Amino acid sequence: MSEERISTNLRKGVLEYCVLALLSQGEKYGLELADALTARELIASEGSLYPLLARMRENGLVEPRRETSDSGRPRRYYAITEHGTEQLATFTRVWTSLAAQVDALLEGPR
Amino acid sequence: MTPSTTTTEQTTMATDTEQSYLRAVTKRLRALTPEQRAAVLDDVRAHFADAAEAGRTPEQAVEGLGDPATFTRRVQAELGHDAGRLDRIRRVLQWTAVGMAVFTAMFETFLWPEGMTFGLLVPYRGDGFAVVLWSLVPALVTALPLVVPARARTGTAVAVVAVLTVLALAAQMTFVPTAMLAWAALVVPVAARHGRPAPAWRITGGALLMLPGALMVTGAIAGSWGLEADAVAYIAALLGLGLLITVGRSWTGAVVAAVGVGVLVWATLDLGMLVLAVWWAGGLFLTIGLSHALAHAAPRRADRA
Repeated sequence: MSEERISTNLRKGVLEYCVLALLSQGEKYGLELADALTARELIASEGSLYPLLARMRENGLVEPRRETSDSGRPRRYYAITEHGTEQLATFTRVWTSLAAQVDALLEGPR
Repeated sequence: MTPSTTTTEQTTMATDTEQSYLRAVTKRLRALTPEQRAAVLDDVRAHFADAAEAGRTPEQAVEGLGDPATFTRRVQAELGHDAGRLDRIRRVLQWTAVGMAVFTAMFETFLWPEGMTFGLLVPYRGDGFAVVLWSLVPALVTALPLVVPARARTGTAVAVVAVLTVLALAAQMTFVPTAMLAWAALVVPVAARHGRPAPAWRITGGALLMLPGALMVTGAIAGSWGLEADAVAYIAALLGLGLLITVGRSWTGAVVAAVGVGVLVWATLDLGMLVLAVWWAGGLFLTIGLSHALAHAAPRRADRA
């Protein structure tokens, strides 16, 4: 499997938790969220963020809010829900233990 | 004045690009609930506004989202709408057409042995096994789109529909229901490609079912024939079936399809003067009912853990 393929497969599973992690630091609007994720090379473009947000909204992990931005224009912000926060906490536990196990394996026996 | 003109032009262009993108997305998301669709459209609108504020052109905003077809496919995939839906519709209709061809062949061979031909084209006279095999040729032809490779499928389906239509109209009119189902296998997946078909489809279908009843009523009013009690019952049944189709629910199509099967079986058992008309009516009910039921079936959701 190519490096890109491995990377895509892995990102697919963690992307929504990265969105939750970003939103747990404060609500963000779509483009802001997209830019944060693209900068970390987690998504290729906004085109994959909105479909993901649609599912996360459906599952009650995030909720859109209409608020006035600094420029005075109403803007669509996303906020993490209580359920989203719980899911993020669960993911954090799983990830920490999984990452430790995988790291240990990759490092090999000492 | 030049800067302000430029700004106005940019705003207008933004609106055009955005509007056409929104229209394209709306059209392709009919399978979603109104709430889901509205939320996705709100995201897209917000995206255009935020991109403009960040100094990006509408074209750059579109570039980020991807073309409407790709974007909506991603939305549907995330929301668990199943991609196999159209293929399932096509296969069910095509298989039903094959079944119909087999049923028609039985009808021809066993119930109308004297009229056993594909009639005018090949006045074949034989007996026994050869006749049965020969009568199954239309069924084999109808099955072709189900067995050819995917890239040859549409071409094959079109060719098969053409052959069946010529066979049905020019030679053996008992194959009209088979031809109708093969047509449906071609047309319904296209009509239902963005979710439930536009209301015009079911209104046309309903009107088509009501037409014979309406003609009977008109004839009676004009004095061509009297309205007997059983004629009134048939007319009421036809109008009722037509109304069922105009309701955008899957089960109403299933009811009409079941009536169609009933009529077809009845036509094979009771060979009267009207048998061909009844046979066609049964085929029409089955075709429209099944198409309607499949196109309006609730989208299956992929299981998620």
